[in-house]
Amino acid sequence: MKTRAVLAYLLLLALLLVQALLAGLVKPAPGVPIMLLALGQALVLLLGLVELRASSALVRLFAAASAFWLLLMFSLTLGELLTR
Amino acid sequence: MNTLPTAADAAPRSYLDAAHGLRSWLFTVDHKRIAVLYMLAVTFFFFVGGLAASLIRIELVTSEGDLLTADGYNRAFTLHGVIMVWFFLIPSIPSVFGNFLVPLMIGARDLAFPRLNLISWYLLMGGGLFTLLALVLGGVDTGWTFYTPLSTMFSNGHVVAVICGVFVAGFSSILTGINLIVSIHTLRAPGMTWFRLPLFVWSMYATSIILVLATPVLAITLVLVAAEHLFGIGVFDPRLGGDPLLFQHLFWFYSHPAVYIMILPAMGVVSELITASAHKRIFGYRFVAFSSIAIAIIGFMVWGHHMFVAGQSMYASMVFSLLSFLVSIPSAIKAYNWTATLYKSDLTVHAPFLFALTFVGLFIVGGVTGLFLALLAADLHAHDTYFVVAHFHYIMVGAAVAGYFGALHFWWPKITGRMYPELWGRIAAVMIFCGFNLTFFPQFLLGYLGMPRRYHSYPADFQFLHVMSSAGASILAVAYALPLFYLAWSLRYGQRAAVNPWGAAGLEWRTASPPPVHNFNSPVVVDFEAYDYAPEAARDRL
Amino acid sequence: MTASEARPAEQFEDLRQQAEADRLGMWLFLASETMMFGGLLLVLWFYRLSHPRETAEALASMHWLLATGNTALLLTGSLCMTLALAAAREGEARVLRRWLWVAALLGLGFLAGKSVEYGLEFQEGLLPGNDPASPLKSGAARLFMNVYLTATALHGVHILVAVLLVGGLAWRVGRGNLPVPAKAVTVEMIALYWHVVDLIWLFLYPTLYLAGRGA
Repeated sequence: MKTRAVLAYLLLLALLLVQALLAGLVKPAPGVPIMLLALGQALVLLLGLVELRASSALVRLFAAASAFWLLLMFSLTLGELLTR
Repeated sequence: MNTLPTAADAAPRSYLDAAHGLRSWLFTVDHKRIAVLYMLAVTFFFFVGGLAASLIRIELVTSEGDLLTADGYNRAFTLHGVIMVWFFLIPSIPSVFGNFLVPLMIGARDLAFPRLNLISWYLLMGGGLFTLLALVLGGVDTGWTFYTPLSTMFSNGHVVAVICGVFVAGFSSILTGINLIVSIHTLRAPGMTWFRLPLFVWSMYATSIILVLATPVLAITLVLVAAEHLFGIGVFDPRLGGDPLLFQHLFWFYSHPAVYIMILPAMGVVSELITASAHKRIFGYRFVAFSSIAIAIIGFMVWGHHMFVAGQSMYASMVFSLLSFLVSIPSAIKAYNWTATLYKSDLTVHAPFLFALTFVGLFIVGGVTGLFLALLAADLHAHDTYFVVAHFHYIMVGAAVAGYFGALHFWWPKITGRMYPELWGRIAAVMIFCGFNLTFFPQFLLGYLGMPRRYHSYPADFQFLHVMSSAGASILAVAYALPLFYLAWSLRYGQRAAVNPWGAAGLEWRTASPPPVHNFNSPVVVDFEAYDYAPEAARDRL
Repeated sequence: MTASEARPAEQFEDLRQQAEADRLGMWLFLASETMMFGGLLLVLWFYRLSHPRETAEALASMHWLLATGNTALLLTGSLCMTLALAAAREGEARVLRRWLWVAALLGLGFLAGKSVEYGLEFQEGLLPGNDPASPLKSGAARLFMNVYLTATALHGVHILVAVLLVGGLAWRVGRGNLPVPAKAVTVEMIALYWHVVDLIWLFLYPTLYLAGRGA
């Protein structure tokens, strides 16, 4: 648990560094890779520090459900905006 | 089959007799007592909202705006909408019957978080009374939808105060939803598998998903509206590049699923009522169970049908229209399965059954007219007319309130230990059905003919239909008030209820009426299927 | 009090069932929180996509390096909470207390950083209330800053709650009021809350500071 947590933490910092480098060196800062890195950080946090994999199947289902509902909200609303 | 002892060996006192005095109620953590507290609260809000509805219907008897000013009329229908949606319909069945019945039905001693349950009640009361105060002393003229930019820039009412009240009540919803989901997952008695759960529990589960996932979006939307109103942050203000349509997206992301918060619990009630009257296992148990979940999920993908004429993208409208048609499939599955359950059944007609039939009839009319409105071309004509008003009242008032009253009569013996007067129950059910149709059917015609909603005066041509509607409303008002009297009467003079007066299956009918504090006098083990009605067994029980 | 003496609340059969219920309840509450911030992120992305040029104008004036440092503080806090939970499960009260205090201080550090940032932004006229000094020309850029303020303020309130919870927990451990590992589930609940508030920030940060910078 502890080793995994420290490794996850280092990985999180590394991803943060890549984000910051992208934002500082590339102009304009590319949105898609930066948001994908954020998604990667979220996964590392959930799997490495929260230990979602060790949780019950139900907890994982709840976590997946909130992700699914957010996806619904974003895709249908932004889809509407982008097809106007 | 019956592993539980009946009331004969009931030693502990019932939950009603366990303690006395106001404090024992206001600080109770017993789910059954909290359910009664909720019942008192929603009954109060129902009649407040009903009073506003009466004002509206009286105003509309004549074509001139003579009783209320235009502004007063706006405030009246806002009061009606806000109170009925957030303080009656949403908490009605989940908080009253969900609270009372879910632990009994799954064989638990209480909900998972009893103190949280009591806090939920206080949040609802705090939010509700504050909202009511703001609506009566000043009022809001935006309608229950708080559409921007009216609510943020032009409204002269107490928008922020009402928003605060609704925001607080929203937490009551979220906490109730969490409590129900966790209880259903963790507190089922040994042997109570998912497919042995009564369908009411399935519908509560589906409703709770919506409560937990949709309500927070309403909360943040209301925070943004309040911030815009108070500080002009511009989030929905076109002058700063804000988009009022974004408000509608966020609002309906909550408020369309909220319609299913109102109707799904009533569907669960009807499944119980129909099977108990038919003394027969429900036709297609799994279809009915999963259709509740399907409604909860698909219900989140249809909100754009409120925005067909608001300027949203044509392609989005097409997608939302299609998805809106899809949500009718699980609803239709339920209606067909209820009907199929009645076929060749050992039918007993009593008041709860009449309420269930009222539900099915009104729900079908409301549902089918919903399909008209999901059709892009038809909606252009009917949008914002009385056709829409009639459509959603058939669902949210006709059907949902019939479900609430059906539950009230069916479980009244369990809650109070007394039988209601059967004849009066039937009279009320029939009056509600007739009064409701007389009130709202003319509104379909009015809407089709072009009468827009939210006007206090109208061309004289429409008066005949409006008078019919108001006449129906007076019948409906009497019919809704009637149970208040005979149910109160029954508390003292009603016949004492047996453990299982309906010969119904289900764990709640295997403990005393009213139940003891911890619901069951001995550990519950479930070794029977849901609705295990055998024809002979049913007759024996009667 | 040891683990064997701890009794479940009366609606539960045993402590394991109660812990599972607590865990599920907390996750559902956090799912709810996530949906709430999801609504705010949707607002932000809706306007980012509607007004890319004005968003870039606003982004140019953000103190993004300060925010990057703040992000690192929150991530470190998450690590501390995980280590605290590990200590709680091993019954190491002293280690537990140490990690909790470190996490609480990191949370305070985040709030301090945020306050400095707000102060700078106010002086520069970026925030409402000091509009005349604003370098932002377009309405949509100011709109972005206003939503930024709403989102970060709401998130800041969550961090404040986290700091109070974690600090309170550390104090209870210090007083010996929180026997571990019997009550490790309490630590687990508060750690979960911290992680999710951190998770929300992981999406707010690139949305508010990074993506599209310098366009």
